[in-house]
Amino acid sequence: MISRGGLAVVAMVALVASVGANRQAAAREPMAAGELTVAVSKSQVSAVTGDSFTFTSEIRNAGSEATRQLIANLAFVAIDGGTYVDPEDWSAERTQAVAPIAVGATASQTWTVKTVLQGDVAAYVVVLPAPPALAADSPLAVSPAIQMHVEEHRALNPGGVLPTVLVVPVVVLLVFGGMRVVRRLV
Amino acid sequence: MTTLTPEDVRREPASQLAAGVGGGLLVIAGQELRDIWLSARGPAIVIGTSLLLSLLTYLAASNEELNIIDQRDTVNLVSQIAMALAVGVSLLFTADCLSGERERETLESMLVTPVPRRQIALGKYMAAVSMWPVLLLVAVPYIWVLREGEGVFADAMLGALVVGTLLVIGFASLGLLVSIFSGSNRLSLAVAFFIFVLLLAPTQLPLGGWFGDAITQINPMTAGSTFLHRVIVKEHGWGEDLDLLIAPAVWAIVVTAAAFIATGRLRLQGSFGR
Repeated sequence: MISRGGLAVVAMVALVASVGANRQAAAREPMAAGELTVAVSKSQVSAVTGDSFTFTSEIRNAGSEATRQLIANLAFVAIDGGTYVDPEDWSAERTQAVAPIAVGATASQTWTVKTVLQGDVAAYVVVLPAPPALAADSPLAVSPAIQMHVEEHRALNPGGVLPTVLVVPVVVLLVFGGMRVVRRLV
Repeated sequence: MTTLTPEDVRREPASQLAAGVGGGLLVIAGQELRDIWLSARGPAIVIGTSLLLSLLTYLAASNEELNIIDQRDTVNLVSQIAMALAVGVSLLFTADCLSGERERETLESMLVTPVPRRQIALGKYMAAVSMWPVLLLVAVPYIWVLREGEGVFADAMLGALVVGTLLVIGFASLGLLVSIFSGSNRLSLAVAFFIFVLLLAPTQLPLGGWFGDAITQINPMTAGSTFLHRVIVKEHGWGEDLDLLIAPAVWAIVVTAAAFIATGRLRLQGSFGR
C-alpha cells in the first residue's frame, strides 16, 4: 500500500537516480584515456643492486579523436611482499608530460630505472589526462608490468672510496705515533 | 688539563710572564696545546674522527652508488658531521678547562702565577679551538673523494670553514663561560653538553611554518646547517643565503664577549654547583 505522497517520493528518487546515471555517463564520454594502449619494451629484467637499465613505453591512440595533454607516470610495486620500495630511489624521473596524440599516432617515452634493493619488484607506466580534464572517475591507461628480479651485489669499492677510507686513519695514526716516537727520542 | 708546572715556570720567569702583551697567554696556550696534542687525548679524538668519517664515507658512497643518497648530500653529510664533532669536542674541552682545574685543585696554583686571568682563560680557549682546523684537515680527503666536480669541493670546504669557525668560536666560548662559574666539572660538562644537544636537536627535525623558520634563523646550529645544505646541496650562491650566517656570527660575538667579560670574575671557587 503506497500513498499518493509515497508514490511522489518514489518517482522523485527514480528521477534523481536517472539524472545521476546520465551525469556519470556524460562524465565518462569525453574521456578518451580508455582508448589508449600503453606498451613497454621489456617484460622481464634480471639485475643486481646498483644496476641501471632503460626501457621505452609507447602510448597509442586507438580512439576516434585526438587525446588531450597527458601525463605518463612510472610506478613501482613490490611483488614479493617484503621489499620496501621507495619509487624515487628507483627512478629519478618518474613523470613525463605527453603532448596530445593524434588519432592512430603514438608517443614514446624513455625511462631509466636503478635497481637499488634486492627482491622482486614490478614497474609499470600509467597514463592519465593532465588537469583540468582529470576527473575522479576517469579511466587510466596502464601498461603491462615489467617484472624485475634483483639480486644483491656488494661492491667492495663503491665510488672508488675504499683506498681513502683505509689510508686516512692509518696516516693519522702514523703521524701521531711518529710524533710520540720523535718526542721520546729528543 | 694540566696547569703550569715548575718546569714551565723555570722556563718562563715570572717577570717574563708578566712582561709584554700576551707573554703569559703564549705560555698557557703552549702548555695546553702540548697537553692536548702530545698526550693521548687530541690524537685519540682525531683518529676516532677519521675512523668515523671512513665508515660514514664508505656507507654514503655505497648508498650514493645505489642512488639512495645524492652525491651532493653525501658531501654535505660528511662536512656537517666533521663540523659537529669539532664543535662538540671544543665545547667539552673548554667546559672542562677551568672547572676541571678547580676540581683537581690545581686552579689555585695557576691563579697565583703572574698571568692575568683573562690570559689564562684565553690560552686554554685557544688550545681547545685548535681541534677544529685539525678535524677539518682530516675531513678534506673524504670530501675530496666524495665530490663530483671542483665546485662541490670548494663549496663544501669554504662553507664548512666559515660556518664551522663561527660555531666553534661560539660554542667553545659557551663552554668557557659555564666552566668559569661551575664548582664541579660534572656540572660544567653536563650543562654545556645539554645546551649543545638542545641546539643541535632541531637540525634533525622537519622545521616548517613560521615557527620552524624562526627556529632556523635564530638557532645558530640550524642556521649554519641550513646554510651549508643550501650552498652544497641546493647549489645556492653564497649571496642568496647570507642571512643564515647572522645567527652563527651573532652567537660567536655575543657568547665570546660574555665569556671574556666573565673571565675577570674567575674565582678559586665556582659560583654554583659546589
